[in-house]
Amino acid sequence: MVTRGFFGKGNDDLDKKRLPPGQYLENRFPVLSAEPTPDINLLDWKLSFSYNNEIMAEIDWNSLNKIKSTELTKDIHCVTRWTKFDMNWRGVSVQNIIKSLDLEVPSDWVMIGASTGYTTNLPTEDLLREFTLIAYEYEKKPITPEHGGPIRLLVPHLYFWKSAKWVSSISFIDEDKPGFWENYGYHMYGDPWKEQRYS
Amino acid sequence: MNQHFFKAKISSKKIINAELCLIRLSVDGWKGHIPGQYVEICLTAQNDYKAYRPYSIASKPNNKYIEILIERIPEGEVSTYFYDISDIGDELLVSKPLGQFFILPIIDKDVILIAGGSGIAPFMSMIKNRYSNKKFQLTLFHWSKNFSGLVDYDVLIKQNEKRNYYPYITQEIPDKWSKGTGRINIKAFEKLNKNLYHKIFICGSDTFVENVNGIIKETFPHREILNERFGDV
Repeated sequence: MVTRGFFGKGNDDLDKKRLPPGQYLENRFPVLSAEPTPDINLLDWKLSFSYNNEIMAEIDWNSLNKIKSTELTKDIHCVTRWTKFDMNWRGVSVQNIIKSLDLEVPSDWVMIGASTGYTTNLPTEDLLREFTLIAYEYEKKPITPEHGGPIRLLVPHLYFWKSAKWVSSISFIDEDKPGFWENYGYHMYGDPWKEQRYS
Repeated sequence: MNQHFFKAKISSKKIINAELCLIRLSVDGWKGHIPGQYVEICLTAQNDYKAYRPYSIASKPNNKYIEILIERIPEGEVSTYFYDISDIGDELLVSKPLGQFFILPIIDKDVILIAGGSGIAPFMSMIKNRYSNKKFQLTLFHWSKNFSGLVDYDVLIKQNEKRNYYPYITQEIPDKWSKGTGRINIKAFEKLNKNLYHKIFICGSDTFVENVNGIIKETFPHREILNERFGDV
């Protein structure tokens, strides 16, 4: 069914190959949060790793800063259908953090938590991918609070709601459970190339 | 695609001012929605290029049609289609109602709704739903650049002798305007009983929502604050 009078734009072949199904190219960086933006001091920030309600390890900004960082440029896909090309990030891969803390991964799933109470679930395998970062710079500058700063999770291969803003905890869990948006009907995994928007 | 889309036709188009228009879509097989929910609109070009955008539903729940409030964005491929080109009878696709978070299924507590510009859309649906439980109130604050942007002003003023509608104009203030003026600030909420409200819905641009959050967190501590945002225009 064609919509009379609609022609669209941003529609060349290169864009088509880089755009997952149902996405459109956005040049701005929209803010999408369900809750008010918290005010977090970098020096107060901590990230905890836990299993069965017991804290396995914690890391703060000073220790994070001592681990080798990664810079990457990735296309980001939001479930609300915008895609932004070539977003540049710096952070430390979760893989490297876990190595440096000498942690053994106890389960196949994690629940990511933010200081606002926001949660989202991930397979541990995805958490440990090379490009899953605890990110603190966007376009070479500190990440601003409304975009999840000072520190957010970045899971570039999944829809952007998985990249929890203001990340503060990673809890290993034995069985997959829905987080905040997953409870409100979003997909448990969220692969943009398979268009896993809603469950 | 794991999503069902309904066939829809534009059944009315009302130009509100130089930026806003209200589009009514008759949707085949529509089964209603919960106030606060949104739909994804899908437009298809002749070469099969498709554009999808989310829009809040502004109409009262019913099983025939939905209304969406369009703010024309100069480079926006979907909003310029609706505002400049669309006409009655045009066909497009509409998703099922979406969103389980920024919603008001029943009213069993007093709530505040705070809108910036076209952020009034989800609240239009909540207010038109005319909840049967009269014990509780919806209190609406709406900030708009100009008078025409105060969508449904006449209806809302008539309905709300109890003063739970607070319109504000920030830029083009008419001569005889006796209601609120100026940008959002803490004074706007001074008259309200601070203990009464349990949930606060805020909808508007990123900048607007950020500003309101700051003020509301101070004025109404420990309340549930729900945000719905669209990008800065």
